Amino acid sequence: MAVENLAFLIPVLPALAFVLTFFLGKKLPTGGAIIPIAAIATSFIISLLITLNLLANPEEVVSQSYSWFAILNVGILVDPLAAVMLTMVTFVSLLIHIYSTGYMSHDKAPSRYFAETALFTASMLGLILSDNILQLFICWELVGVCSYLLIGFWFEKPSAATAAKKAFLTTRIGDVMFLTGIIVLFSDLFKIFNGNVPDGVYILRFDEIFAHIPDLAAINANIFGMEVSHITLITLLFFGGAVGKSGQFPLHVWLPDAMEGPTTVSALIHAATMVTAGVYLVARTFPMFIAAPDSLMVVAYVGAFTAIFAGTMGIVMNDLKRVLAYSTVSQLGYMMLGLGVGAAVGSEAVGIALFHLINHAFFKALLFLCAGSVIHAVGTHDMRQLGGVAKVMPITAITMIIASLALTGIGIPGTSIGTSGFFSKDAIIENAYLFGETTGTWLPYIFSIAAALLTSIYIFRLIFMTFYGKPRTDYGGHESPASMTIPLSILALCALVFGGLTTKTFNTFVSETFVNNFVNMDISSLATLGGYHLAEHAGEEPMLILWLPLIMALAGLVITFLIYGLKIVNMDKLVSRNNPIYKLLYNRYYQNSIFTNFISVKVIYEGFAFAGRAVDRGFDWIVKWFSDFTLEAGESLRQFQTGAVQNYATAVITGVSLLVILIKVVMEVL
Amino acid sequence: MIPIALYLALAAIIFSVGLYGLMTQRSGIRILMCVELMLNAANLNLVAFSSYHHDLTGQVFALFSIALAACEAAIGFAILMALYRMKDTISLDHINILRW
Amino acid sequence: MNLMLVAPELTIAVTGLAVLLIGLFLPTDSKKILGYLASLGVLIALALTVSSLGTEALLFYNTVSIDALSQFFKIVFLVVALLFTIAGIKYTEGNSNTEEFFTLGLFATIGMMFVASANDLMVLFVAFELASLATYALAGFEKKNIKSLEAAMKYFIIGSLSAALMLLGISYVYGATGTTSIPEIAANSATLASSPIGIVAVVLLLAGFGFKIALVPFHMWAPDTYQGSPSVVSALLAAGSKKMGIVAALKVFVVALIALKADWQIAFAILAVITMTYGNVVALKQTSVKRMLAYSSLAQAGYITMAFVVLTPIALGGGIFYALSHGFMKAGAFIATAAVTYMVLSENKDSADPDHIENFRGLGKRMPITALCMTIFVFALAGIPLTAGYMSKFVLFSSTIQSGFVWLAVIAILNSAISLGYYAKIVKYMYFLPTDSEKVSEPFPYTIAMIIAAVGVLALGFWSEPFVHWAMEAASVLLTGGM
Repeated sequence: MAVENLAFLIPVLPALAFVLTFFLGKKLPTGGAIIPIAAIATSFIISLLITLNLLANPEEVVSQSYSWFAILNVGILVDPLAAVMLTMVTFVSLLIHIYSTGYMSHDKAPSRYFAETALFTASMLGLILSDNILQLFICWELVGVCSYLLIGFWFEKPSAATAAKKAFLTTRIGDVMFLTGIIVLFSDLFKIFNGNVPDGVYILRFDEIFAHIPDLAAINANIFGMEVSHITLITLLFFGGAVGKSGQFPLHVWLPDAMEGPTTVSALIHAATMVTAGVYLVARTFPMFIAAPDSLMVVAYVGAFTAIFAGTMGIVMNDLKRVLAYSTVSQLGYMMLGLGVGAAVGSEAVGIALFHLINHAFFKALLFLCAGSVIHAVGTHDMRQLGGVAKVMPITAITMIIASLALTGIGIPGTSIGTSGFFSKDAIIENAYLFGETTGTWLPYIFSIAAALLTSIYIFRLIFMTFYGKPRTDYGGHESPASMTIPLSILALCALVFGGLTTKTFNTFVSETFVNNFVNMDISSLATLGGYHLAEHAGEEPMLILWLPLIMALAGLVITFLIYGLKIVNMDKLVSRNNPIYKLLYNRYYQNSIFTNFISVKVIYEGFAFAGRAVDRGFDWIVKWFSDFTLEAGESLRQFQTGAVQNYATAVITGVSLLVILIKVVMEVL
Repeated sequence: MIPIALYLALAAIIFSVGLYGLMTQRSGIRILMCVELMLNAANLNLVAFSSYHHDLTGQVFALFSIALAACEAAIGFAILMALYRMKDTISLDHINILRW
Repeated sequence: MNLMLVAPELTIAVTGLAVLLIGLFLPTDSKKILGYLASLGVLIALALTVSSLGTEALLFYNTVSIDALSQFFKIVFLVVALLFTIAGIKYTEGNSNTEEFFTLGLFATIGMMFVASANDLMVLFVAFELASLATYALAGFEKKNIKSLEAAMKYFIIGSLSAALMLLGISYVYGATGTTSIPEIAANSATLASSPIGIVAVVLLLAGFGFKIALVPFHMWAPDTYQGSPSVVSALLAAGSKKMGIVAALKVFVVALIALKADWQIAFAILAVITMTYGNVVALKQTSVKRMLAYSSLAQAGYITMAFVVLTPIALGGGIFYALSHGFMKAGAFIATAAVTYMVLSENKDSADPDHIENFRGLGKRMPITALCMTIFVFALAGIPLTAGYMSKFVLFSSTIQSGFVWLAVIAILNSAISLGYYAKIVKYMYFLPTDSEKVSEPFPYTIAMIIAAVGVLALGFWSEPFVHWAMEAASVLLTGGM
């Protein structure tokens, strides 16, 4: 039996695990963690086998579709793009589940935690496997819900509940745009088919969508007086969804707050998997983007800006997890930039962005898990209270330093020696350079290279403040148990060598997703449709360009060492706050003016008091006339209002029935 | 083909069951369920008429009203939750401060 | 399709969402800005509506119509929403759920606005429910206040009951005519008139709308809810949501179901008489000012309902004009009560009945502006000349007499006389009963809202000619059978 036929099990097993854990977890030790772990491990093995098979036989793409209703379908599609994502998600999720057995051991409701993470994993895998945009959207919403549940896992904390609400509503903006994009796409395709869709054609399936890109590009819409092609409109709306989910500027605001959840959740959802769904969406629909040059340009700019913008915030945070959160936002920006430069490098962009996505998943999950290990041991997130943790927790410290090296991308250009981040991030920056050369816009490149410096500064600042020097407070602490350190070590190994070992294979493997597989696109002709030319890519960048990212990374290391290691600058002076704007706002309140007192008290009140007594007598007289009778009536009538809501309902029903009868009677009489 | 009168009769019966429950039940949850019954009886009517007229409007209307009924249930449960937190009961005949 | 035509609705929707989202990022003590933002949004929407006066259009596959009637009511709703948001600034001070308050209020306003321009029962129902759902939540806004919760619960249960009745009614109308479009129903309603379910459908719809208008016997929730809800919310309910019921009833009965005129005219006649009498008589014995105002608004609804009985262009215009004036008067009166409640609660946090009439004692000295505005409002409600209330009653009652319904007019005038009793009681407490309490500072946003409402009441009274004319124009839309 071929392993492809088992592909559907990849999301189904974790989903089953969710059900089992949800109902049985409480009765099992460690909240039933064994169920999701076993399920996800199986999924991992299946994914890995499919990926290896694909690697050997690139034409054996798994594609199975079943009619859902009318012209919509459900189905799975495992092409290289999906395969690597599946393998990464199952792998990281597996390690994090194992780690969680240690991390969540003191929690009150571990079974709820494991059920929710299993559900999350299932939905995320479903998202990746989807062969049509609607199914992808449904899973997209599901992961959003799981993220909401898990951010608010400790819902007794008001800050967690607020953060969950904020994350949900902010990403919702993106989701609405995504859904709008799907609706526009659907109606356009329906129009292209003239409303007559042949049997067996499912119009929201990716191959069907991609086959009609030229038709979509031919439809124009008039928006605010500008002629916009529908393909641009749709891709921009899709990108809007990606911006929300992947924390791109300006919808990045929810991600740092999402750190209110357990650290393992941050590692799984808000670093390695869910937040990359936006990147995955853009990669998945990349043929559409490449036919819409304006959208791709937006992707590149938003990505580059996010990378530098989040980096600047990363350097001032004092919370361990928040630094990592901003780092995630910044790295997601890199991935988006990696896709955006597809305008210059064509389908290679997908390979490189995905490569960074995978590498990032390893080292960022590792960073979070190390942070979790520290937090678990010492009980605080605040870096200002830490220091010298390396002595207490050597394994955590070493793995974290490896992760940081991977994040900053240390390696030797021109060779295959280097951490995994080096291969993917530098490739993105080089592509940004090519992008600048081809299109003449250098801003993305400048942003990305500056962000590289910031990356190095914030992460080494974190390392120095946390692990170096002497403890600033008395926090005690101990090395974490093996269930936590083993996943750390495995991830550290990946972060260290995965990039170097796979860089060539990976890029060609994924880049060819759209070339000779399931969808079979001619990328360069699509690019022509978009009206631009791809660069003649031959790696002719000047030496300086190749070395610049490394120089930046090392410069960052040196700067942080000087500031936090040798303390040659007094940071306390720099960060003091004396904000005069606050006061200014504060004094802007209205005042009760003299006007009020004078006009109303003196003139009106005195006047009324004079006329009043006469009028009062008049009123009393009128009221008296009625009162004997009406007051009695009022007193008895108000008894109808019994206060019991059922009686009110009864009154309504009685009223309805009486009116029907009354009208009937009156009509008869007349 | 089932004659339309049967659908209407079924809807009327369901509606009446809901109505009866609304007037007699004390538990807030049950009252909510009765309201759902009544709304769905009306939906049944809409759908039946829709197929009777060969016109899709009624079905679309029913879809809208199903969505609205869901929102209504959500609000209703939220109000009952809040009441429960204050009074430790959702028995509605204990809740009658406001009267006369 | 020109989106500018729904620009006011879009503005409100965007403002509502913006308030909700911005609120997520603000600490509680700076949420005050949300109120200003919401008010600004309503102001812009109001300006957009006023600037588009006179346009007529059909939108969204003829399900939404822009005409004089819808524009008129939209302005009523937006004015009420403006008063609501301004007063809300003070009411929500220091409340961590501020954004929800304003968002719900704005969403309710969108619902009302779409009811005003609905040209299809589907839009009408959905918009009606949107407004209802938002106001259910608003009524229970004080989650720690059992009265507020009880108010929300009763409002919700009776509200969902009426929604079910209304939906059933709509389903029969659809069944008989095969369409939900209001003009098409009007064209086909002969089939409904001849069918036995005609009467049932009319009464069911009447119950649905009667719930919002608070007609006896569908009114029972109203006193409890108006009393229990936060006063600012009561203002929205009495001044805005009630008018939504009226405009919906106008559209459905006067336009769509005109063929069944004989049936519903009788029903409205009966309900109008019962409602105004019951409301006025029961109001006399109330000691809670909010509850008194609630019964008073029952009575006012009874007067407005007379327009459905008389059914001449002048009477309908009078009813519509009454709706506008009542919006100002009732919203103002509830906001004045909110100011008093605020004063009482800031003196004694645990006061059980902050809206008890005893708390109005000597208000003329304690809160001069509030007392003055409240006086204007209750005088207007009572129908004292030179106020909006007088003009509306005058137009409505005189057209009633003109068309030969003298008995109805006599009952209405007698009722107005009864109502003076309780309105005067409030004035008496405010100005003629002594108090030894100190003068207090009046909360600024409440004052602004009250002054706007008071100016409106006086302006409509002094300078009513153009407004009455405008209302007549709106009414003519109804009688020419819509679009």
